Amino acid sequence: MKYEPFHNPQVIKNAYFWFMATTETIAATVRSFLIENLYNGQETAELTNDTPLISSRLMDSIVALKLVNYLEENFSIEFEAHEVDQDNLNTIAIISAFVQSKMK
Amino acid sequence: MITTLAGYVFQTALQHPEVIAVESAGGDSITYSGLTAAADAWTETLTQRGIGAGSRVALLAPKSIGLIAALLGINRCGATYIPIDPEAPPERIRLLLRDVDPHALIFTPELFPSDIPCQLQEMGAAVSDNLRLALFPGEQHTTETAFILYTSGSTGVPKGVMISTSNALGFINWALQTFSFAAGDRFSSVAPFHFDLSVFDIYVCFASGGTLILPAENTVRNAKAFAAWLAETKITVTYCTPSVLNAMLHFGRPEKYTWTNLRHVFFAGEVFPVKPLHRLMDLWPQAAFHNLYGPTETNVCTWYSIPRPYKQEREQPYPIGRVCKHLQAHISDEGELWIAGENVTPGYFNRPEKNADAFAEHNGKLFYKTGDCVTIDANGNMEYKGRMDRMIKKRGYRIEPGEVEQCLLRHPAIADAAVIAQTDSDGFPLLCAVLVHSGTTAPLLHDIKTWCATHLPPYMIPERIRFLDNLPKNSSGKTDYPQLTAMHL
Repeated sequence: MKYEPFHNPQVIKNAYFWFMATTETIAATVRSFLIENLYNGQETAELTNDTPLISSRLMDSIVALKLVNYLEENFSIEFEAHEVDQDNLNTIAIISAFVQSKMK
Repeated sequence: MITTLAGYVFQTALQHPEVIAVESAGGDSITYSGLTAAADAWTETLTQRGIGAGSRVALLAPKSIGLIAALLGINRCGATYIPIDPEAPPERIRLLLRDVDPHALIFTPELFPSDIPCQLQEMGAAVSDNLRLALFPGEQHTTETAFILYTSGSTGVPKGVMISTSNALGFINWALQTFSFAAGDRFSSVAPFHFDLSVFDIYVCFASGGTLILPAENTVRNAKAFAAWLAETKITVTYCTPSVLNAMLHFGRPEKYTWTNLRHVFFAGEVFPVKPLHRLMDLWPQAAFHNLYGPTETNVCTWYSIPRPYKQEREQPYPIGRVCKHLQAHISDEGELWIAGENVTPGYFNRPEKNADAFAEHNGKLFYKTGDCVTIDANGNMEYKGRMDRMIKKRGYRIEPGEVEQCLLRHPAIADAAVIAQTDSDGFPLLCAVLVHSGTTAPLLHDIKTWCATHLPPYMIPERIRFLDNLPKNSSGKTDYPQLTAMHL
């Protein structure tokens, strides 16, 4: 069977994010990851774009690594080792701005 | 014959004075002759201030060449050193220092809880410039042991395991005789110094005339930085927990590097799930993999080298293997592994009641009861089957759930708490706290995690928090852990 990349939902999703990603859509992606990984999939008003994630210990080092991996796959970017750091990962707003800067 | 831990360094310094003993992340390094001189400077500084046999010296500093010189200097003057987890929150550091009741403390200023009364010492330039020394004058009791390592305690207070010189020498000499290390080997220093894996890193390296490679702070928990460090510093011998290796495998992009230097990969501290272990063996085809097993109280007491080629279809974790030849193992009627011999700790620091529970006599010998259940497979290797008690082994650390529960119960909005082990998608353990809140609404997740972080070291903070209306109780009114573990949380 011929490979039809645009029949693959993941490829479409990646393409969508590649062209359309704004800080808001990146923030929504980060948020959905955090809701799934920290809050067992349950929506919460506790998590805002400015909730500290690392300094508050909400997100431990393993979840931070999973998040970085998730962002790399979704937005076709790569974090350098020194960029996996609280300075770039402490809030949804900071993460979104950082991811967008990597995509330019 | 070597009779002290520092003796290994001095012996190597006689044979290879110009070989590099330690390399730090900043590019600093020190030769064996330099290291002995630095250790001697500490010994002199300490001896001049009355520190010697019987004294306890606590260490509260990140890894550095200077810190290694300090611990060798302490060892050389006959005192006991006690590495304190520099990542522990200040409250826990105070708790540990109260328990240690040290005669002296070697520290970096940013980690020192300033409200502790002590006498800060002026020191010459011969000792490391970033370390400070404080004395605690008074009538402390004395301790005759090489070092003390603190582990989690079931009643909410950590307990110190005393490691005597003969305990440590027994382990180090076994490692030297069992595996082939040589001058030119580059040993990674992955484990923190308050963790027993570091005893291998430091002393087996120095006894072999190898070079100890210190990572920068935060390298080990950053999988990308860790992979880069391990490859770029050309490490040949590494000893890690399975979690550290697994994180590197999944998130560290290890395929970016060439891996021709690694010869020996040792892992310990928790079960290594087979699938990621096999992937790692594919990544490092030239390396020998060894599963080392043993609680802090015995250091390594059983070991198993993973056969190559491995069996693809294997799903069960590998056995913990056979008892080290200089030790004796006994399996009790309940299936608990008991260990006797040279490595076994003389006991817990200041906890006579713990000693009574932890040891038992069998055939006229004193055995340490590991609390681990084992069976013996068809080849005579021991297989780890779980715990006799509720202790959880996570990232190589032993966690007494009771210690985490005590912390959670002190939170004003929590009425009841139970901590159980769950597993992540790779089969690694994580802590799940099941809580009952006292008010009408549950406290915020971030409030609970910050609370835990104020009182507990990072590895003891539960990854998962779940709320229930009530915890299941058994007929005697205690938390029914088996039922809780069986619930889908």
